[in-house]
Amino acid sequence: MHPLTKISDVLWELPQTYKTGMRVPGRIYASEPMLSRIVGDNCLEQVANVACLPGIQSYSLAMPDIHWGYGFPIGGVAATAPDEGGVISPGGVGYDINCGVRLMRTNLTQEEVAPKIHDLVSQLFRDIPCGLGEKSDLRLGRDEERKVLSQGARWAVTHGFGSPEDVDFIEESGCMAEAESSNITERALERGAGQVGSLGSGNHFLEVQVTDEIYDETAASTMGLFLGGITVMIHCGSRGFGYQVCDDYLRVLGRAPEKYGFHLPDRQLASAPIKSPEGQEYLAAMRCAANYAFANRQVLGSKAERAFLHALRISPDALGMQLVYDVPHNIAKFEEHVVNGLTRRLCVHRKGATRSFPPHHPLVPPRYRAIGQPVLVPGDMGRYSFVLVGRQQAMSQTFGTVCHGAGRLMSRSQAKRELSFDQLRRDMEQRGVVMMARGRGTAVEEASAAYKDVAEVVNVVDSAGLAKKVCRLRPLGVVKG
Amino acid sequence: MKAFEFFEHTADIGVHAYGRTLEELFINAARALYEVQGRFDLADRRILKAELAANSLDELLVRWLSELVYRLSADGVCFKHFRLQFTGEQKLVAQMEGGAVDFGHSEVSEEVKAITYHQLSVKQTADGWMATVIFDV
Repeated sequence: MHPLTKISDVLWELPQTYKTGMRVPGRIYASEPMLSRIVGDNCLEQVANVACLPGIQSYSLAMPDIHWGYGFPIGGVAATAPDEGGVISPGGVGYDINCGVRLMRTNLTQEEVAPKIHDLVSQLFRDIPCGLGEKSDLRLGRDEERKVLSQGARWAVTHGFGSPEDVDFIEESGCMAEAESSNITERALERGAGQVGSLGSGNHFLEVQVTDEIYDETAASTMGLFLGGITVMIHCGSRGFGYQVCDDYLRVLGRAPEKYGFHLPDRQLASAPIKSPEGQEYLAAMRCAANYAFANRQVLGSKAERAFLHALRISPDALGMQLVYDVPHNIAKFEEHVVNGLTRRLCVHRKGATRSFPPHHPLVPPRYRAIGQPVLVPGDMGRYSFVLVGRQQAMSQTFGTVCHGAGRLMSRSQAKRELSFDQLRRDMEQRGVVMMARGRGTAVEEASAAYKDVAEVVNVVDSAGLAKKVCRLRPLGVVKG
Repeated sequence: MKAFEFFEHTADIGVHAYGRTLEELFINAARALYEVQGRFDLADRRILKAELAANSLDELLVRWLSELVYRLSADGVCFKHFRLQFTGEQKLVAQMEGGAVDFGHSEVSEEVKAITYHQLSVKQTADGWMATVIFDV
C-alpha cells in the first residue's frame, strides 16, 4: 500500500498529512506501472521534505523521471514566494548548476553520415575533452573567467565559438542577469579555470543522432528537424566550477535555518530566505555558475561543429549546423506564475526538470512562438531521446515544467555488478551505435539497461498535457567521459 | 575490520567507512574516495598540509573529503599517505603525501565531484568509528 491518492491516470497526490511540517501536498506525475519503482525508492520522503520549505506554493512537484537525489529528489520542482518568507535552496538546484541539454540540427542525412560514423566519433572524441583529468585546451586567467561568469554564452560567441544568433535559442539568451562574481571563492575560480569547453564525466555525453520518428511535422520543421536528418545533442553543465559554488554555499546556507528560525528535515535542503543576504549571495553566485554552463555548452557546440567539418571534409553551408535550443535542467529562476488567480513572481527550483513554456509565451523565442518552447529530454545512450514543445497546462499545473530525462533504474554499483564493458560494447554495436568512452566503469553505469525507458517518461508528460511530443532521436555515435 | 564498503544509491555512490580511531576512519574514507575514481599513477611527489575546521565531526569529514576532491579537480593531485591530527573537537591538521596524477598511465574510473550531506553520519561503535557518506559522481 502506498500513501498516494490518484488524481488522474498520470497524476498522484501525496497528502499534506503524510509528514509533519509539510506546508503543501506533494504531486507526482507518473503512470500506474511506474509507481512501484517510485514508492520503492526513497524519493517520496524527499517530495515530502521539499513540501516543508518556507514559502512553497501549491505543491511539491515531481516529474515522472523522479528518483532519489539528496535534498530534493531528482525530477523535483518547487516554487517559493519571496514575499511570504520563501526560501532559495541550493539543494533545489543541485551540485551541477545549470546542467542542461543542447540540440543542434544539420542538413546531413543518415545515409551521408553512416559510412563515416567511426571517423566522425573518433574526431569528436579527440577534439572534445571528456572524463576525469581531461582539461580543456582553454585555460582562462581570472579576469577572463570572470567575464565568462557575467557574460555566459555571449563570452563564447565573442571568442569565436558559434554565431551571435545562437544566443536567441538558449534559455535566458545564454546569460542570467545579476550574476555577481565577487561572491565566488578562489577555489571555485581555480576549479573552473581549465574546464570551459570540456564534457566531464558521469552521465554527461555528446551524441550524434538521427531523427527517426516525427509526431508533429509543423513543430519539427520549424526547428529544422526532418526524418532521417542528423542532429547533435550535448548534455553537460558547469563542471567543477558549479560543484564548488554549490559546496561553498551549502556551508553558508546550512546555518541559515537556525538563524532565520525554521526547521528542515534534511541538511541537504539547506536554504535561506530569498530576501536574506545569504539567499541573495547564493542567487548571485548560482547565476555565475549558470553562465559558466551556458558558455561551456556554447564552446562544446562549436567544437562539435568543427569536428564535423574536419571529419567529413564538407563546407559549413553543406553541414548547416544550427542550434535548435539549449535548456538548463538544474536551476532556480524568478518567473511569473498564476497562483489562486493572482499573477506572482516566484522562485522556481528545477532540480532535474526542464522549463516547458507554451506557445505565445513572451519568453519563447519568436521563431518558436507559435509552437511553444522546445523541450529536450535525453534518454539512455542505446535507445533514443525526445524533443517536445511546452503546452499551456504546464503553466497551470507545474509552474511551466516537465521532465528532464529517463531516470535511473539500477544504481551505479548494481549496473557494474550486472553488466560488463565488453557486453555493453557488443550491445551498442548491435544497436548500430558507435561508442567511445574515457572511463570503462562510467560507460557501464550508463548502459541502457541501467535506465528507465524514456518513452514511458515523455508519454506521461504528453498525456498530462504538460508538453507535446515532436520527434524522436536515435543515437548513431556517443562520446562519454 | 573492513576499511570501507560501498552501498546502493540510485544515482550516486554511498560509502560506509570504518576505523579503530578517528584518524583511521578519516583515512579509510579518503581511500574509498580514491577507490571510486580509479587507480592512479603519480608523475611527481608532493607533500601538502591542510588545516580544516567545522561545526561538527560529520561536517569535518565532509570538509576533509571535499579538500581531496578539490585538489584532484583543480590541480590533478592525488594523495596516497596521510598523517592526521585532531587538534580540537572539530579541527583537523592533515599532512598529505602524493603527487600529480599521470592520467595517461592511470586507470581512470569516474570522477567524484562533491561530497554530500545527505544521510551523513559519523558514529562511535563497539569497535571504534563508522561513517556514512554519499559521493556525487
